Amino acid sequence: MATDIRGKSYLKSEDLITEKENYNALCVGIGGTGVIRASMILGWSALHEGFKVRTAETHGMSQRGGSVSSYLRFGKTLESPFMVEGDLDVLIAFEISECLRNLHFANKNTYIIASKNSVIPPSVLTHRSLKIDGNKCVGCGNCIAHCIPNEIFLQSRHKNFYTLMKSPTRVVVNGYNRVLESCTGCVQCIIDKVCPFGAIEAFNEWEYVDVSLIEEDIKSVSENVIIIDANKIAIEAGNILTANVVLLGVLAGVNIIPLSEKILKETVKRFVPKKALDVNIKAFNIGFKIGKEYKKK
Amino acid sequence: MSIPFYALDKPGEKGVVLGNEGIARGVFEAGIIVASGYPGTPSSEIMEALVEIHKYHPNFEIEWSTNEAVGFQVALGASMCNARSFACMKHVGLNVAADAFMTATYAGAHGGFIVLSADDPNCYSSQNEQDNRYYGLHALCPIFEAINIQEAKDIIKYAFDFSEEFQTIVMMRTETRLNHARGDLILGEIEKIEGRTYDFDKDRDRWTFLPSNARIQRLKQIERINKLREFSDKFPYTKLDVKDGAKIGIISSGIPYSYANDALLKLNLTEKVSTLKLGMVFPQPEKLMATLFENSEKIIIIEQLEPFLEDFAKKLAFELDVNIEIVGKKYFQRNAELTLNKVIDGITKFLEIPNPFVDLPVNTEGLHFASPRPPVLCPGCSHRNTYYALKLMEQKLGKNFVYSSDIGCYTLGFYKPLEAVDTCICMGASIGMANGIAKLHNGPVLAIIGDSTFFHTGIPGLIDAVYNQNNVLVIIMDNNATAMTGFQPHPGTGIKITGEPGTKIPLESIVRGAGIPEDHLWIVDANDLEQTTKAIEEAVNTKGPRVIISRHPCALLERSIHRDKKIIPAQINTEKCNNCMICIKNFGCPAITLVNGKVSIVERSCNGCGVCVKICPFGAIEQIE
Repeated sequence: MATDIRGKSYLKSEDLITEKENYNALCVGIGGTGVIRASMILGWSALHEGFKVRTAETHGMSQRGGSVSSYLRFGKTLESPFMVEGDLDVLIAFEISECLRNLHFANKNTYIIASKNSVIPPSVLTHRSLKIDGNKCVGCGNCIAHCIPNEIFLQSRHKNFYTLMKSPTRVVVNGYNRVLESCTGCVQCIIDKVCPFGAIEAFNEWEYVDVSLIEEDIKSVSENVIIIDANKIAIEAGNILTANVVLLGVLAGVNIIPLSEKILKETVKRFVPKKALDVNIKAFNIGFKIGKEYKKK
Repeated sequence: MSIPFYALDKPGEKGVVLGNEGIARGVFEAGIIVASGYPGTPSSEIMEALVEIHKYHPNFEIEWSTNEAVGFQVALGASMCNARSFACMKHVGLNVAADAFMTATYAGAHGGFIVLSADDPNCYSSQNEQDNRYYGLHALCPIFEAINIQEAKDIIKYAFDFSEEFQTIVMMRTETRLNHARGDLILGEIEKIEGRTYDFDKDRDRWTFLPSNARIQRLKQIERINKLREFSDKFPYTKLDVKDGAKIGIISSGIPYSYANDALLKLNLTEKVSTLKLGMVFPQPEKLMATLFENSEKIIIIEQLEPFLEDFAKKLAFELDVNIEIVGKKYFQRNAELTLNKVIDGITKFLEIPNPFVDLPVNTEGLHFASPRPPVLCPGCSHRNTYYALKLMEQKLGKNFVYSSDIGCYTLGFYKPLEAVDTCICMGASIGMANGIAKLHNGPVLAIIGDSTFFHTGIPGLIDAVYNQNNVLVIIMDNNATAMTGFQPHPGTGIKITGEPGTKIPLESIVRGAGIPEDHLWIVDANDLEQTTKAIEEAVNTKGPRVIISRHPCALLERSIHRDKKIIPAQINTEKCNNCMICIKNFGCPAITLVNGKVSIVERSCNGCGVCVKICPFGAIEQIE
């Protein structure tokens, strides 16, 4: 039997992490916002630097509005389009909650460059409803009396034909808790404090946590985190669509993967429409400056 | 636009391409004459890249076929004329083409004939993750796989020569990770095939599968596969690498091989493990495998999905009476797709060595949960509007509809808030299943099908409904494109793959031709709630087979075609809005969202379809010019 392999480890984990023949980057964001394009720019830049290039893209069924990840690898010996989880050199996020979703790919040395941009998935809102504490609720019906959607339901039968409400809002006992059927999750009853017993709570099946909490999470993972308001910078540069180029500029500024500013900029020029060239270069340069300043600290 | 890199006539030039573009380049370099296919993720961009190439090198024929069966048959016919031909489809597309495929492999190819099957492990955009290598085994058709884009380009180019040399159809099997990967590619020479005439090869015994001919062709097929089995050991893209003193052997192919390669790198084992990489995964190279068996004590087979190679290797070991340990699926899961982490995990468990990557370098447990972001119907999507009208009428009429649905963007209607999809099995099944449900179910039975899907395989279901007088309401959601896969044209658009005009086949002419009488057919603008709800009410109260064509161009397509058309975005009148969230909760347009707790419309996203204006109970949504 292969006794030289069995029961004996050749592996020292510090050897593995410092292997630097290959580099890994991950671009994440929302479909249709330039994630794939950014990764293409990085890929072509890596090719011009003389590396082998591999990328893999994951997105759901529709390209619009769903999460998009583009895994980019370049180097001398690699073959696989995926990297090992936690073995990332750079994580570039075009939306902040997408950054949170992919933190398991990062380690404490990973450079995380993220845009503050936050887009609440529509599904978060359609999954929002209320929960009623069965111990506190006495069934006074005050909430129903103040429920706007319920009022609409009662009126809409003879008012707006095109308003869809399946049934009046009503409290349904569901085990220990009670839920409001046909609740739209508008939480007006909570805002107006209509329940005298404080029994109503918002129930978010899928919650989009506060941006500041996400930022804390990101900073807890890595020592190298740059979070900027890329959309704002892009608007200042002249076009909100250049937000991804701002982030690429930051990447060039911090200079942690062997893709030079010159080549990155040249590749950006090739990938943007001619009439938007100046705006993009401006956006890139602003990003570059931010990256450079960060590196100085 | 400038000429894309993969269409350049510059051998030796280096660039980064999408896997599908690389494959298209290979097909082009081989001197393709006829290419056909039907769009399907992850294969669609192959044909799109080919048509891009066609713009600059229009010396071959290319078409989107009505479905994969027709696509396969078109390519087969071209092969009978000695032309290099290519049929392109996703894995489940081969199910549609299987009837022709299973018999065509008896006769084999005359002109080089490659059928590409793009598998989708983990069902990223498919209804299943079937392993199409079994089709090769089933039809005795050789299968090629590639580990990266360069090899994919080279191997598919070579496949045409191979196909002609052995007179065999070749199946090129790819998977999402190759199709939708990007990588470096060096362009090769574009072959010029000269001196060939493309006349039909009138070998009637070969092409006519009457039983008497079929029996003879069957023998030829077996003879052919036996020859291929021998050749498999010499296949140029199959590589056995026996390492000195190595006791462990790995057998793999395609993308899983690339994971194996990097796993060995990461584990520092490259010099301690022998590898057998297969370029032709069926028939397998028996002699090379036997050599690997002789030089190893343990073999691990790394493959995606089913134990296809593993079963063969075990059978071969049994036949050779070799007593070594051969494992595969014992260490790798059969469902979903492999990743580098999973391959490292399998190898380390097999070797009983610690896995240094088992723990993440960061602790993610305490982090907040990122809310899921599933794909949604786009702002202004006409499908949402039709679904909304259906849901509205379901409530108004006090009836529960059965929604037998199909494959397309509209399958996304399954999710909240619409929840208007009850079934979805395969292309065209909506009407077929509705026919069966309607025989038993008490209540309105609806079949929801898209325009391209209706042309693909929906028509026989509708004819069945008319012929057998089944009580179904077919709703054809016509958005004038094969939208899900990237807005490819189809017979109803009257535009060919090249952008040139073809003959437009209006949906209603087919519906009428199938025997739907005029008073059982409604044609409405999907974005007109008034028209649509009225038609639904009438149709639900009518008996027998009936059809509503709910028509409005795909919002994204409309926006890209009519760029100068002014969009008047809807906006919230904050004085009237009560924040009741009915527009969000019950309509679910992604352009309507909450900003600082208040309902508002993202102007940049809004497509100006105007449906939300109608649904607001307070009249708080306005469209002001």
